Amino acid sequence: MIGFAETEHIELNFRQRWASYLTIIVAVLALAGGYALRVNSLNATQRFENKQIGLAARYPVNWLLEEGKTDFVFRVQDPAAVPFKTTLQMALLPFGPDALLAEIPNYLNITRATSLSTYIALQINSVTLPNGTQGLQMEYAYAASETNPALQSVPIVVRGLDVIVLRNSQALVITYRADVQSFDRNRHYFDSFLRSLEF
Amino acid sequence: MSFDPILLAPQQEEREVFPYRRVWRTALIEIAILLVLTVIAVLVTRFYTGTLTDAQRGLFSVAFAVTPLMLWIIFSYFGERRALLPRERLFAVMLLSVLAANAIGIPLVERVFAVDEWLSTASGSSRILGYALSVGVTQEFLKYLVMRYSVWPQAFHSRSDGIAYAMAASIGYATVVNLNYVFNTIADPGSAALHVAEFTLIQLAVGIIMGYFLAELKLSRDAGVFWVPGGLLFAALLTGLAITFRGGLIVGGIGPNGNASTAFQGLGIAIFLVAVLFASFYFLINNADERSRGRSRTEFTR
Repeated sequence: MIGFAETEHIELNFRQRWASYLTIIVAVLALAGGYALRVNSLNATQRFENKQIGLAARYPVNWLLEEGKTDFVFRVQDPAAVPFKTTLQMALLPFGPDALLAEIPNYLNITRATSLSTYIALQINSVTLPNGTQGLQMEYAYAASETNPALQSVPIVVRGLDVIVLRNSQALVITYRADVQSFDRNRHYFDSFLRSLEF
Repeated sequence: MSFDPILLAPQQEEREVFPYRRVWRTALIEIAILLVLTVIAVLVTRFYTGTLTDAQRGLFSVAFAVTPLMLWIIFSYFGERRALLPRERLFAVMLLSVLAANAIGIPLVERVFAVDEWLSTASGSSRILGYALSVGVTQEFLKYLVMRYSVWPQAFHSRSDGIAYAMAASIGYATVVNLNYVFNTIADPGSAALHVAEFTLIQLAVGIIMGYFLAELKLSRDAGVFWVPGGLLFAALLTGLAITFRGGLIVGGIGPNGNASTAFQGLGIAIFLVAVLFASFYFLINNADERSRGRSRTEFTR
């Protein structure tokens, strides 16, 4: 039925031999091109700029942008992410000129504990942004429920990461949220976002 | 007085015995039966008022996923064994294609390229190019490798041999794609049947391109070194076009009655591809065979 044992050997001519080599070369190049296209597509960004507030950053192409809501000035979400839409967000919190950076995580913990289900703060570290600004990094988690009760889905465990920096009398809170399974995998979006941030 | 016998009827011309299996005929029979079974499955799903458990749906889907392979075994493989000159190692080509698809093709497309992550929201032209360079090149290159390093050039005696081996490779690849779909999706029988038919027909239609170009490289003196690489890129591009247009066609419009998917249009593009490519390559092969015969006659009479 299979019969590889009795394979006869036929000498290929120059044209046939080079056609075989070229096919392999073309296929490898095409696959490499496909992979490059994937990397470009995943890392392609577009610029967000709000001159009034003085913020600019680059966010992934095809993500959905929302601006100017009460609790954030900028938010983009990946529409293709399931079950939770990976989110990048920036919020400006007004504080007095004497505010300390270390106080802001406490404020965020108190407000989120009332608005987010089973909210828990995980760890707080100091961080230096790519432009040299000193800030704090806070990790947390909570359970997100489907907003449509008719869908009857189980809650999703969401991991969040805030980078908090002081700017004059304001605190800039840059947030990254993703479901716990894809948090590490999508973290590069947040790192790229921070690298492009101007404020 | 003697009489020479007079023939009252013209002497019957001896018909040339065709020693090989006729690949186009068996392929069309298999496709026709698959389409009839698909329509029956869709109609039964639409009008059946009972409910099926997940296990029953899964069982039906798996059975339907291997139906194209069964049809190929019954009509092409056993047909081949009944022919005067059966093509060698047809089953081996199918089997190697199954292994290549399962070990390399599916993991490469789903894990390395992860096409759903970046192509589902991309623009139309990006989707065509992306699917062509990832899914298209992967599957057509694997089918090429299977044929090239198992049966080419020693088993390629005529151009239809290229089509026969390409169909064997395509049916093997399509079976793995079909099983991968039904093992990862719980779909109703009609939907599963439509997917299986679409995947299979697209694989069969596009798959014959590499078989044709390989046969040309063996048999034609006009085939240059860029012949097969060009065929690979052409087949990959057609795969990209087919996946993109299929995706666009099966999503229905949003209206006051909700959004309805138009799954039959996806099958339509697969049938269109089969009709156009089968007709084109049938014409090309017949034309090339005629030219070869004419050339050999000229050389003989010289």
